[in-house]
Amino acid sequence: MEERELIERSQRGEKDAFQELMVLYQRKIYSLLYGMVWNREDALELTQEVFVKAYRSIKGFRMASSFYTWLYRIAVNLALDFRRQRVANPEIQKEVDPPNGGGPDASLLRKELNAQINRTLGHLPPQQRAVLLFREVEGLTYKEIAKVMGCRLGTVMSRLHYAREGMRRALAPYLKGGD
Amino acid sequence: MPDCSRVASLLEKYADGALSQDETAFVKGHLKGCQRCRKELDELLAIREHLREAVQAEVADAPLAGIWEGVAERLEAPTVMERIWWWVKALVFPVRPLKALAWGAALVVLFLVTLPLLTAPPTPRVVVESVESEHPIMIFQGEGETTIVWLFEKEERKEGMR
Repeated sequence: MEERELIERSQRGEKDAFQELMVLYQRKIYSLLYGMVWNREDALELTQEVFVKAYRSIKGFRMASSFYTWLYRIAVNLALDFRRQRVANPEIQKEVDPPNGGGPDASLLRKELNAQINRTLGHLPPQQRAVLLFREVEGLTYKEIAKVMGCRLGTVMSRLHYAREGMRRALAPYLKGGD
Repeated sequence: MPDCSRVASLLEKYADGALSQDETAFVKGHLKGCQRCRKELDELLAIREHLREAVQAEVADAPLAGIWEGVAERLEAPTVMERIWWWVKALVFPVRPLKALAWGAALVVLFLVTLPLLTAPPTPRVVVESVESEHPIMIFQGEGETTIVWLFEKEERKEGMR
């Protein structure tokens, strides 16, 4: 079934159609949120929240923009709110997950590298972190990122540049001589 | 190389595929002969690769299968706004009790109005006539009885009484 039809049916309140839409996007949304909070439990919780919010406001979705842009916007706003709450209430700050590193066969270097990526992402300002993940992990264009983040193209490029600089500095020991 | 500073400013866009055809050709040409800029690009691409792998390693085994149950459960529950509105209605605008009261009152009125109509005996047929004479006379004729009324002026009545 086409995405447009699923959206229209969801707008009429058909939950099974919305479930199909959710299955299409849940991995991408989870991936973005995981990159933002770096904790499985929180990322899952936020993923559910994104879809609950999306279902409740899908009647207001106009086909003028793409569905995933709209969905990403909900996700990034929730993730930013979540981080703000965590900063305001450090006592509920959860430990980030230890890096998975790709399973038991992964090299020590890979695990170290993932831990370093994790730490570096955690130190980036949330807006820079979101832009970096949208570009590098999700593969969104500058224009799409600007739409999702509700900012100008120049702001996207500038945030991306500073995020990359931060990553480059932090990962320098791992980048020397290639991987 | 003289073009390095220009290429450095274009390198991120090049890695993101956001350059025009001419600019892409220019950067590509430069990279063929410049180790330093090539290394810069390789670092950019390596960061992307590492980041992607790090996130994907976590996402690959994410327990997403049961996510719909959680969403469906939350969709059944009323939203915060719905809950607030419910309390506002219950406490500030008790719409339901008022409605019940209004309906009750309407039913009582309806009952009181219709009850006499249903239980009262049929009104007897009355014929009213007036006869022109020295004193006006009114005749009420019902079923089985007739009432005749003479009308006197006040003064005449007094005189008559004397």
